[in-house]
Amino acid sequence: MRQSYIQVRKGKEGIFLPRWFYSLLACAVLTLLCVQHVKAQTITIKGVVQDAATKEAIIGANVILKGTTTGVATDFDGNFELVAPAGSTLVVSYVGYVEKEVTTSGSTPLTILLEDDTFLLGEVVAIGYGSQKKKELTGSVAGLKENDLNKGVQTNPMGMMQGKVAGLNISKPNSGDPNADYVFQLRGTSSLQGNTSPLIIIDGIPQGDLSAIPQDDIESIDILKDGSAAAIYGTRGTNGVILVTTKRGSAGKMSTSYRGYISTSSILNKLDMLNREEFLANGGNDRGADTDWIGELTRTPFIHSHNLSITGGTNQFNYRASLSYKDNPGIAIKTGYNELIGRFAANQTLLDGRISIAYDATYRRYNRESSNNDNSAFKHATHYNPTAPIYDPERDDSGGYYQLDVQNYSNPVAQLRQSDRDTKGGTFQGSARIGVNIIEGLRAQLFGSVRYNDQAQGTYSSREIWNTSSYGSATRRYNNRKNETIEATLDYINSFGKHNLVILGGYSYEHNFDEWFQANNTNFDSDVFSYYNIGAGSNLINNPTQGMMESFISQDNLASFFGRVNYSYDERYLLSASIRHEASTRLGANHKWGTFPAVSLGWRMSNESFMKDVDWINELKVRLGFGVTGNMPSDSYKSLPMMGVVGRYYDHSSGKWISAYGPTQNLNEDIKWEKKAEWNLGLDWAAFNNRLSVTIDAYTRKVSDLLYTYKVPTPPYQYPEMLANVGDASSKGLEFAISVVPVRTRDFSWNSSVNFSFNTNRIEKFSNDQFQTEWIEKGFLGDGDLGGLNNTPLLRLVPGGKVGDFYLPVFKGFTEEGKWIFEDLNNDGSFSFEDDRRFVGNAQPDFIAGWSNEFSYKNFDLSFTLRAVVGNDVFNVGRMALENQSIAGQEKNMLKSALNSPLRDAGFPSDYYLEDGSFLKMDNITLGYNVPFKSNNFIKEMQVYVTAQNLFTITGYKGVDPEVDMVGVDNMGIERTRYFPTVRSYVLGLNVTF
Amino acid sequence: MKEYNYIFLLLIAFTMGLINTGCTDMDEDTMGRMTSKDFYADPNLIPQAVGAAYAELQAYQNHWGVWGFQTVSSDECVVPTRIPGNDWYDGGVWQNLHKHQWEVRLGQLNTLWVSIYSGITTCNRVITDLDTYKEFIDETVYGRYRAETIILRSFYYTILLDLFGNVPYVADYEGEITSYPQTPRTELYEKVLNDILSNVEFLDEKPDPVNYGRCTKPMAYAMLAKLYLNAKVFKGASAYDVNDMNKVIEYCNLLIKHEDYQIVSDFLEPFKVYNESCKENIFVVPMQNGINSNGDYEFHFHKFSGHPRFRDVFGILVSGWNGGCATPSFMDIYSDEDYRKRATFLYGPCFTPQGEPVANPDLPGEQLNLTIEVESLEAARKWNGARIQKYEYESGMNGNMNNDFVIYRLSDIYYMKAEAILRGGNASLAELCNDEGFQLIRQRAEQSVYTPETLTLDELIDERGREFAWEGWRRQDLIRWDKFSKGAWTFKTAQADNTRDLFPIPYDQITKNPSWKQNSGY
Repeated sequence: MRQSYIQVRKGKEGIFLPRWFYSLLACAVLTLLCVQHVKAQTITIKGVVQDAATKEAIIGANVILKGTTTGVATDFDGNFELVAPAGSTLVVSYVGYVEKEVTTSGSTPLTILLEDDTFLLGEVVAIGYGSQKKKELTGSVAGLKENDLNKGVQTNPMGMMQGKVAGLNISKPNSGDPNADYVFQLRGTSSLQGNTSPLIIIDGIPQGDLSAIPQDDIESIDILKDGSAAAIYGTRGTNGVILVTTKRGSAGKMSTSYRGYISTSSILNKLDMLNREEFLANGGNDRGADTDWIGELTRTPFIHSHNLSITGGTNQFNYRASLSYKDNPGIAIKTGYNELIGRFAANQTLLDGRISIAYDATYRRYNRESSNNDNSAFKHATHYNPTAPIYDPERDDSGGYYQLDVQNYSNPVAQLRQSDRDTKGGTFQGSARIGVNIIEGLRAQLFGSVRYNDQAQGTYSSREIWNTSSYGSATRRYNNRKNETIEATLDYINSFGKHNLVILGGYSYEHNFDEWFQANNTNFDSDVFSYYNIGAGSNLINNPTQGMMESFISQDNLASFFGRVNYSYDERYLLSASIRHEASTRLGANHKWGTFPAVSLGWRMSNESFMKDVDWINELKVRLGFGVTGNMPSDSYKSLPMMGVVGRYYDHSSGKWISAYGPTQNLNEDIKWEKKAEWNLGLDWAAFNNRLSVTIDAYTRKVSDLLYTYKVPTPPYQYPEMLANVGDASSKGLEFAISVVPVRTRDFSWNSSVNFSFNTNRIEKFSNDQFQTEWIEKGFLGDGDLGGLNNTPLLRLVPGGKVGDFYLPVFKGFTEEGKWIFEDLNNDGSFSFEDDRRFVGNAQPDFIAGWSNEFSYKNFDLSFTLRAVVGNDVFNVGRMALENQSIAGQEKNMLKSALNSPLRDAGFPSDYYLEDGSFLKMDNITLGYNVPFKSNNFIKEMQVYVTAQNLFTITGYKGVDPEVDMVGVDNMGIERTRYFPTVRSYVLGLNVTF
Repeated sequence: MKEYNYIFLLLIAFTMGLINTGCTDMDEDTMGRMTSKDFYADPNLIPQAVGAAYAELQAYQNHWGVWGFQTVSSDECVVPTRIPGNDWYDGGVWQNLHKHQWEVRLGQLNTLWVSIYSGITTCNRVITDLDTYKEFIDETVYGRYRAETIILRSFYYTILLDLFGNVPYVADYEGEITSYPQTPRTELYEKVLNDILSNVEFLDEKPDPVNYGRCTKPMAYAMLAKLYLNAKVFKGASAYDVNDMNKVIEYCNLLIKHEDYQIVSDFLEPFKVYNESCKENIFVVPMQNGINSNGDYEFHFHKFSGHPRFRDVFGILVSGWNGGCATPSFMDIYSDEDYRKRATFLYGPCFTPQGEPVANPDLPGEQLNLTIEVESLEAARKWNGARIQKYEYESGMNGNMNNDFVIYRLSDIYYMKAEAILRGGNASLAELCNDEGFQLIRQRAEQSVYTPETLTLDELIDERGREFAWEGWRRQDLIRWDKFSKGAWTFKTAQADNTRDLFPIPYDQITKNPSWKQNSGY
């Protein structure tokens, strides 16, 4: 195993950063050295810090002079004493309480009461082009702070939110694969083939690359869930908006912090296949060895991650810089990635604070290793003959690997070893914002951002692969993507009497660009050439007609005007109204521009006079919102008529094949955004000194003009397919988020929060006079080893049905010979797949839930997150392929459960293989210890922790992992035979601040 | 605060400038994509639009295409489901096709319809485009391309005439096919005949490299002979019309006497990898590995019929998919001495080109022995069935086949003439039996030549089977002998009526036009 690990590293490049990156870093450091501190006249301030509710003293609360690093901690009686300039402001904070600012007023001892932060009324959340206090919110917005996020090894910050937000369904199929992506969706499916993921905005950068943000650099994540909140993002607001705020500097003494962890993982769950003895006892051919195929593909990975950050500065200039490195090898040989991320962010003010400038830059460089066949190798490892040896040095036609001549069957070790896929790339993402305070309350801002992604990939399959037809196949692919955004906004804030008013107006222009180049060559004389020397293959010489080179460019622009008014009266009656007028080049000539309005209202009943005496209620607010958002076609140029090469014909006079041209796309000038109108009714309630807080949201959404590619007749159309806005769908749902603090004492506290979300959707129609389809079939079986069934659909969408409906034959029993008996649903006397199917289940859950807990006892804290998905069905393709004695036998292994199955027929899709996919997972459990240091000059705080991720799964599902794709319309609720093992990870981490 | 005001003004000016330049222009920059506007602006590209009408022919030979439906439904080919596994079950399509139990809703039938009509509509679109851009095109070039496109369209219609019978005849590019009335088979036959007769004069008289694989006069003659020969079936007549048979003889004679065509001495020469120069072939679909991204447009008998170990047997670098094989009863029509039996099919113990035995991967330690017998339609073994090897498999082939697919060849013309005489046509059978070319067909098969006594209709249907096995004519031939629906062969029982002689109008099409009538029996 060890040797294989070393082999993996061999030939891998180190990380090289461009020279300018070092220059940037050097500049940043120099700037820091120039920063100076200023001092003034001083007095001595005394005071005590107490819990606002219990009046108990708070021990160890931080009392800091605002704008400096001067500060003390309270003693055992909550007392403090501090020397500070007269009239200065103190910032008092303690974990679990709302930070408070107090202005010193001479020598009187201060009594500072801190409010419990369970329901952070004063907390500010990002709402897009601005922020708002949580108590003033009228839309459905969820906010997560750093402490709320999942710890441990995350391949992408998306994992940090898993199970934390009601309505946000995040899953990671093949979760053990460090190169696999999360699939996520807010409030269910609202598109058939358009984009279904929320818009991600990182520090104002639209479509920001979340993987370029180290998890330690995230300060908060806010999620705009309903239409009224997201409508400010117009044609991209339908799937919700995720606003990520990263850490920036603040005035104070320079502080350095290190966060790092080491980790390893093991396979959580293996299918129970026959071992060598059992295999032989059941008629398997003895190939003379005893091989643990899964074991041969896996290793014990060593994962480590380091994040070093410095922050400091003054009110005029402050900064934060961080450098992160992570090496994340997967549990499978030849999988994993490493990355280096550098970030720098600075805030500056000029002209006595009238002009503020903020800028940041991030660069991520990564190397990723995988094989062409990761998931396929595990499929073969599962069913490969357990008595077969790995190697067969005698063979000269398979590169020395043992191979059995069975269709759709391949030595899994050879699969991984004989193919490579190396990917490296970089992401630069940066922004600058300049703000000018024109008069009191009126501010103009100009914001510009860029994001560049470049990626280079090389893929090679060995010429020695058994039964190859390519004799070495190399592919190189280069991809560049960029997004450039410029925004100008004007905002005005004013309060007069009990009226509070915030007005925002703005313009934004965005340019997206995507290009790639790809070349492939085959027939290499030696594996030495690999993809490094793609010209060495002979296919380009022998088969020049085969189109081995491709390049592609696509671009689109987006322009919009937007405005928003937030008004509140007496902090009791709240109103928010917004509008966005937006155009995109992707849309048809008749619908380039669209308008997206929203309005929402709030009533804070707790501030009414009749509630004044109800002490136990701290907050009671009802919200009602309505908003219209859009969803754009996922590709550009869909509205234009196109001609392209539709085939080739032979010209024997020249001996050449000539490109034949024909239509490849119809004209459709009516292509527009998919439109969603959503109502949201919400309730925020906090009680018992904010120790209980509840947020409930109910919503109903109607989506119209759904895009789908219809089959159209030719003639009159030129091309038989056409993208058109036809369908309607609707969905509704209910979300609960409840936080409680059951225990809070001096030494022990327990915070607990739980969220539930229910969503149900309905496809209303997808046909009109011009475009029709009776149903849409999805979820094709595909896996290649189920002979002749690859094109069998498992899912069917029909008007009146739901996304993710399984449409299958109904299992009735087995004949005495073990043949299938299915229900003859149309009573025609015989069963046929075409006519005898019905809806038997759905891939979407009835509800999803998350439960997070934090306990702290003295210096220890313990947190865990449980996540449940309930009521969804999963089609177990693995069981169909493996729990079958008639498919298995002489060479193919089978599940132990096949021995008890009466089935003696070929696998056939029906509800027999549809299982309840409900599960409960312990995603994360972390035990931390805050090392108590006496005040010293070197270490401010230090925490060590251990985390176990994915500790257990409770489920009745019989496959590898019920966590499959639950959001993709095409592929929902199906566990394939190709898979990557789910792993359990163990993490040991250290956080130190100097 | 003057400086400050300047900065502010500057900021506003900058912002306004930005808005002015950016926001109004929302037209796409197509970046290397060819819009229809770009294409038609260049009349030089128009011949390449005509080429598109030919490109659809490349799907003809596929097992999901015309060839597959013609062949698997006849007595010459069966695609059994193979065990272990469910290989080639494909929802029961192949079993049903063989048993004549196909359904109206069969998706592949619709795909087939759409594919043929897409050839027709491409022709119609090209004809419309040629008319639209007539002023830019040289007059003779225009006339030639237009006639050629109509003849090609006629070829597509002969397929529909044969497979579905009563389908709309559409000669413009205006409405959806299903918006046109159904044309009765008899009427369609007349229209197609008329189209060919009125355009044949514009075509090339002689085959040459420029018109290779394209419509020429000889190609049109062969098509006319086929039409007249099947006229009784296409017209729904009760007996063969002597006039039709005389027409068959007339067009066959034009080809038999044509100086550029002759029967070659090697039975397999028309099917060689480099068969471009074979003088027996009259009309072929040129095929080439790797020119189509869609595999259905690539020629791959070695995959469709080939056993995975065809690699060893033929020294090719691709594995067979173990699909279609000869129906066991079909093998009985050959005598063991007939060269064509062993030349057309591979069966028995298999050896490499070097003579080494090839191992059977499914029976450890045993040599691969392809049995003529097929154990069952639902659960055949991997080594069951004789496999096609009529088209040469190029040693070292590592993709699909480069052999051009033969549609019309002279040997067929000779046998059509013989049949026309036997069905009452006005010519001498004795004279034909003495024709050297006609005799060579039997001689190269190592069989005795025919005499007017031995050459009967009963003999001819078997002889056509032997000579044209897996060339896509068997279904049509059996129908002329009334042995398709009513015939019986391995895994297929005789049916009482003739309703399976036509495929049904696909469900997805007939449901779009209530005035259309389904073919009888469905």
